[in-house]
Amino acid sequence: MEIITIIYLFFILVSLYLSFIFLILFFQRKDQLFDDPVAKKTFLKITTLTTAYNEQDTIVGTIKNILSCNYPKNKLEVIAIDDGSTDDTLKRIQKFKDQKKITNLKIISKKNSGKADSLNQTAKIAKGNILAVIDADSYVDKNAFLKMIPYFEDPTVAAVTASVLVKSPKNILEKLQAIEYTLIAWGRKLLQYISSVYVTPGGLSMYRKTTFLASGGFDSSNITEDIEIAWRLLKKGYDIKMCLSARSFTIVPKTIKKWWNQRIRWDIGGLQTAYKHRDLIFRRIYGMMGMFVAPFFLGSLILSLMGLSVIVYMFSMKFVSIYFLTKNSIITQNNPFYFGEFVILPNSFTFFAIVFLIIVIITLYYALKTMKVHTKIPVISMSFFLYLFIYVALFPILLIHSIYKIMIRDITW
Amino acid sequence: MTKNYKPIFIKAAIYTLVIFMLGILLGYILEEQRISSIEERYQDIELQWQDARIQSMYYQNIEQEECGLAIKENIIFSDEIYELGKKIDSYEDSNALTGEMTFEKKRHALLKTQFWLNNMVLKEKCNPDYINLVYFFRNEPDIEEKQKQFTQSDILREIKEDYGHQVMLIPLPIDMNVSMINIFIKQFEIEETPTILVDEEIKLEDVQSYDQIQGLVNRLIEQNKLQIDNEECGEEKQ
Repeated sequence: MEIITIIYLFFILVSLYLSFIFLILFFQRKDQLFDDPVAKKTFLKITTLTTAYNEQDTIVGTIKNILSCNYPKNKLEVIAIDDGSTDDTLKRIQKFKDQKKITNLKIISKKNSGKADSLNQTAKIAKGNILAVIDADSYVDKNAFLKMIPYFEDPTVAAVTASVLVKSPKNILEKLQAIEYTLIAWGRKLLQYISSVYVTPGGLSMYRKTTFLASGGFDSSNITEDIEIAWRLLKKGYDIKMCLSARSFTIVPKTIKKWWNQRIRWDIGGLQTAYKHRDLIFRRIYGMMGMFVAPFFLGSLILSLMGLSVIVYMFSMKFVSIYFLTKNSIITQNNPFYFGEFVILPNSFTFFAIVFLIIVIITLYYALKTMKVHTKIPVISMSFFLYLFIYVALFPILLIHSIYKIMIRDITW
Repeated sequence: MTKNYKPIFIKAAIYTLVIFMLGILLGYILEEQRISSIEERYQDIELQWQDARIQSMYYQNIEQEECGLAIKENIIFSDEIYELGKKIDSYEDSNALTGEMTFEKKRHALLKTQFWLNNMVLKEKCNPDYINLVYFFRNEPDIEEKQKQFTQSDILREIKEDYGHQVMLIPLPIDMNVSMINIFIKQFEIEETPTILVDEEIKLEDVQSYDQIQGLVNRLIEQNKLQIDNEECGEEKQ
């Protein structure tokens, strides 16, 4: 058997295993995905933290949205942090606060030190038991806090995250991201059932303040602090819950360039996190973090790189072949467009390709169908196929670019 | 914590193994079936080959002048091994698990060598009007050689399609360690691939265009015709 065949088979085996974990979790829990615990105790005090750096266009809208949420006003403290913006961010929030005479809105203006550091500094002065981190370009559901807070009645829960979805997707790139965010939310909920929620996204995530501070807060040296803190909390044995019914709508990149830069940042942050916590891979003492999340994360990276390497190898061989073929065809005046007889005979790979296509379609179909009440994204659409065959194929290329950037030490926010 | 989730991971592992093994098993069955079909084809062809070879031996020993039947059998046999070659190539490309069909290819190369030898005998004894085009190639070429061979094979395929039974196309791999082929390589000083040997006399190295081969084939067909006509005239005079 050729080495490339063995690589393919390994790739298939691991991918099948991961796919089945998700499918089993889904079919076991499909009726409970939107079930949230009911609050038994009194409302916990929440402090929302929104950091803004040059967010003059969205910050007032985000703060307004937070203030309009259904939660007792005396239990809600809203903090807007101006992280040294050079535009009118600070002026606009201040004007809004003064005009509306909002008492539970606190504005902090400080020198620019990055999102993680700003949040850490502010967390220390927050009065709430729960810290809700909400990005300046995200808009939460009215009942999101009410749905998320009851999860904290379990003392092992250190953080609760929500469905972060795309706000009003219009162009094709936004629509593709809308599908992606929906799938991520769905998948994250499934991972919750095996204590493996490994990201607490900035769109809306809540942290128990005592645990957050005791863990050292966000790592300001990591460019995706929301991934790193989740890993750290899981590593320390805490649980992270995912409240699928609580939604936060976020503004996503509208252009390829911005999207690409965002993804590079995510990938670099992910790699930084994996490297920082490399000691927990396959370590039973770290529970699911060591035995599943970290190997799953690392496995996904390896699979992506492996897949990309195979594709790059195949394409470069094809390219060289076409060069020689064209050269020979010109010399001999032969038809350069003859590529031999096209014969497809079924083999194991044909079978696996069909199995994967079925699995992917089932997964996408059920994920979008389950989330439809939530997202209004049509299950079968043009975007569905673009997502399936083009969008996902870009991820390994992004990964390579990220690795390259790490190698040349070009790691910026 | 991990312990509570074991059933999910075990269940997923079982499903994975079932599907994976099913895929592998199915692949093996399909590939084995294809190899078996080639095996069966070989049995038929080898029988046919024995028949054709005995006929050639008969004409060789008996000094029989009229050997049309042997030529006809040889042509049928040529078509059979040509088709079988194409089948082996397509099967080999699709057989992912059972790997290269080295044994079948070697066997095929042997058959083609025997066929060529038989052709040489018939040429000498019966003077048939076809031309032997022996195409030497490498089974495991480098990428540049591979494309040269690809172009050359395509051109030869066209020649074969256009000339039919006037051309006996015999592709032989030079790197499969077949002793008889190695003898030919020495005898005809085959040093590179692709190389075409026309009627055991003209050696064409590197990729040849359709026009070059066509010109040569036309010239040889004309020569053959003249030779046959001359022989017939000689017989009539006698």
